[in-house]
Amino acid sequence: MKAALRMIFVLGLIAAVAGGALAGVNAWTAPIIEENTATRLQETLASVLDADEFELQEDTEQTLWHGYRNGELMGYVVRLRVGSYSPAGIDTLVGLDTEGNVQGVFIFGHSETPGLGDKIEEKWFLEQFIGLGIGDDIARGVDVDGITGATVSANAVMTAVRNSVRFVGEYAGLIDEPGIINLADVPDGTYTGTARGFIDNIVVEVTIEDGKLVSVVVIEENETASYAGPVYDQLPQAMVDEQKIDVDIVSGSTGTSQGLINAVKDALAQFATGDIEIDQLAGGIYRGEALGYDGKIVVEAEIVDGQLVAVTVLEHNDTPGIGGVAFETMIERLLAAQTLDVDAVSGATHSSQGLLDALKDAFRGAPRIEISRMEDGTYFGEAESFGGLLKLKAVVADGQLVSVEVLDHSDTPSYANPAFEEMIEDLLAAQTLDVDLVSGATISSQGLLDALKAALGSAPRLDLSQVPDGTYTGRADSFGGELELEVTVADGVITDITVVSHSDTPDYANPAFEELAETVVDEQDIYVDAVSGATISSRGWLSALEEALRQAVTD
Amino acid sequence: MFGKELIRGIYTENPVFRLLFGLCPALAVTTAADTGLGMGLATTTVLLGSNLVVSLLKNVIPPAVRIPSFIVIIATFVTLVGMTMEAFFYPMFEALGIFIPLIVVNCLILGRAEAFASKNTLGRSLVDAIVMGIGFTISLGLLGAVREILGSGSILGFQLVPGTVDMALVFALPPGAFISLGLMLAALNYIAIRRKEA
Repeated sequence: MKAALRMIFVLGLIAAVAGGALAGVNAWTAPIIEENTATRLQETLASVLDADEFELQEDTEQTLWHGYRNGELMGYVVRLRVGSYSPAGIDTLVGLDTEGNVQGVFIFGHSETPGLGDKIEEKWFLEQFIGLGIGDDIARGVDVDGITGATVSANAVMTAVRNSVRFVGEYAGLIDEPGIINLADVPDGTYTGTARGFIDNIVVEVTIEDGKLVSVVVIEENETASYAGPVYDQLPQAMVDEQKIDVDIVSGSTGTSQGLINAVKDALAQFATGDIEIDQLAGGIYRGEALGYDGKIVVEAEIVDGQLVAVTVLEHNDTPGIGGVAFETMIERLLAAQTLDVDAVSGATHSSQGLLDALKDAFRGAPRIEISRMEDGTYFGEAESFGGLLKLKAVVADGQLVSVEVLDHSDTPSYANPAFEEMIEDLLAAQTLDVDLVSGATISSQGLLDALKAALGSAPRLDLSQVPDGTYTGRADSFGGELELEVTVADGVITDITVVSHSDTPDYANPAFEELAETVVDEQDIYVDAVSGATISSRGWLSALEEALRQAVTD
Repeated sequence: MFGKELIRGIYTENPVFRLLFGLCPALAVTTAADTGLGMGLATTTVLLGSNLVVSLLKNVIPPAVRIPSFIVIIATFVTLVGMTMEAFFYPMFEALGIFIPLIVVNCLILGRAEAFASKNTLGRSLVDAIVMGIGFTISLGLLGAVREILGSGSILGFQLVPGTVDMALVFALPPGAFISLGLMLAALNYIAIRRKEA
C-alpha cells in the first residue's frame, strides 16, 4: 500500500513539475511563435499580391486582406477553404488586383493524395489562373486546364479561385449585386434555373404558391453523391423553412451548395428588383401590364440586339386626348434614351408612369419570339449547353422558320445529336419556340432552344454560304471618311479582303485592317470584334465588308 | 578520461553506426548535412536534460514506475526543445517537422536513461549524454553530408559541382538513406574486423 502511494506520488510529482516547466516555456515562446507566424503570413500574402503591407479586414464573410504598397491599395487577398477529395478540403490564398484580376494563387494547406492530388501545387497549374478575373468562367476546359488523375482536387482549386473572384467582385463593388428577389413579388408557378455546381451544371425546379416558396427540386445534376447528398437533403428544406434563397451552405460541399443556390436564383432572376438594363435584355417581344390613370395599360416592346426598337400600347383606358399623346411622347423618349429612366410627360403623370410600369413588368418576364413577325433572313445565335457553347443558324422566310442547323457544339454526340434532330423537327412543325424538351437530353435541348432564342432575338445576319464566288466591292463610312474594300469569295470561302481606299489615320487603321482581315479569313465569320484602339475604323471596315457581301447575295 | 569517453561515443559505442540506435531519424532527416546536424543537436539537448534529471532522481523513482517516469521526463524535454526551436530556429523546425516530437521515441535517449543515467552519478551521466550526443550528431551529420554531396552536389548548402550537372538524386530520396547507411556500416565493420585481426 505504502509502495503504491509512493509510486503515485512520485509519478504525479514528476508530471506536475513537467507541466509547470512546459507552461513556463510556452508562455515565453508563444508570443514569439505568434509573431513569426504573422511575419510568415505577410510573406506568403506578398507571394500572391505585389504589395508590402497587408491588413486583415474584420467582419467580412471570407477572410480578406487589403494589400498596400506605399499606402496605396494594390488589391486583395482572399483565404478560402473548399471541399475536395480529402475531408479536410483545400485551403487557398488568392491575390487579386483592384480590378478583380487574379495575381497569384497559393495552396495554404491541403491533405490531398500525395502523387496525385498534390499536383495542384505545381507551378504551371496555379499560374494559369493569373490574369483571369470577373467575367471569366474559371472552369475546366474553358479557360483553365485540369490535372489528369486529380480532377476533383483541381476542380476544388478552380472553385476556390472562382469564388474568390466573385467574393472580391461583390466586396469591392466591381460587379453589381444580383438583384434582390422578393418571393412575394413572384407570380405563382414553377420555374427552372441552371447554375454551375462543383462538377457540372445543376438544374432546379422552383415552385412558388401565394408568394411563398413551396418546393425546390433538383432535376438534373452530376455531383459526387457523398458530398452533394447532404446539400440536396438540407438546402431545399432550409429554403422552404426560412423562405429565403441565401441559406447557410453545407460545409465541405461549398461548390455544390453555391451551385444549388445560384440555380434557384437563376430560376427566379427575372423577378429580381433593380434597374432594368435594356442592353442586357434578350431579343424578342415582351408584353406587360400595369395600372394607368384609369385602368389597365397593356404594352408590347420589341428588343433586337439589346436595342429597344418598338413600343406599342395594346390596350388602355386613359383619357384619349391626354393619355394617347402622353404615350406617343413617352415612346419617343424611350426609343431615344434606350433606358426606362425617362421623365414623365407633364400633365399626364399617371399615364406616363403606368406605361413605364407596364414596360418594367414586361421586361421582368421572358420575351416571346413570334416567328410570323420576324424579318426574313439568316439568324445566328449561341448559348451555353451541356458541354459548352452551342452555335446555330436559323433561316426565316415569309414568316416561317424554314431551317435550323447546329453549327458547333461540345455536347455528348450520342445523346445530343438525336435530341437536336428531334427538337428541330418539332420546332419546324410547331413554328413556335414553345416545344417540349427531349427527355434524357434536357440540357442539350435547352441549349438549342436558348441558342435559337438568342439567334431570333438578334438582327438577321449574312449567311456566307449563300455568297456566290467572285470579287465584290463594299463602301462604308469610317473614321476619316469613306472606306472602300474588295472581298474575294471562292468555293463559299472568303479568301482575301483588300482595302482599296480609306481616309483613316494610317498608323492606327492599317494594322487594324490587317488584323481584321486575318481574323475574318481564319474564322470565316464577318461578325468579329473590333480591334481595340481602332474601334471606329474597325466598324467602318466591317460595315463595308457586310455591304459588299450583302450586295453579292441580292444581285 | 573525457578523451577516452569521447572515443567511446564517437567510435566504439557510436549510437548510429555501432549500436544502431535512433535509425528512424537517422534515415529520415539526413537528406542534407544541416538537417542531420540540427537533428543531432536537438537530440543531444534532450539527452542532456533527460540524463541529468534521471540521474538526479534515480533514488527517488520507484523501480516499478521508472519507465513511465522516464517517458514523462523525456517527453517534457522534447516538447521544450520543440517550442524553443519553433520560436528561434523556425527553418530548422520546419525542415525536421514530425521528427522533432518523435525524438520522444528515439531509443537512444530511453536507452541511455535506463542503462546508464539511472545507475550512475550525475557527473558520469552528463559526460555520457555529451559524448553520446556528439557521436549521434557526428553520425547524422556525416550521413547527411554523404547524401547531400552525392544527391545534390553540395555541402551545407554550398554548391560543390555546378548546378547543371545531374547528381544521383536517389541519394536525396529515402532509398538513398538506406544505401548510404548500409555502405557506411559495411565500411566501419570492415575497419573494425581488420583492426581485430591485426
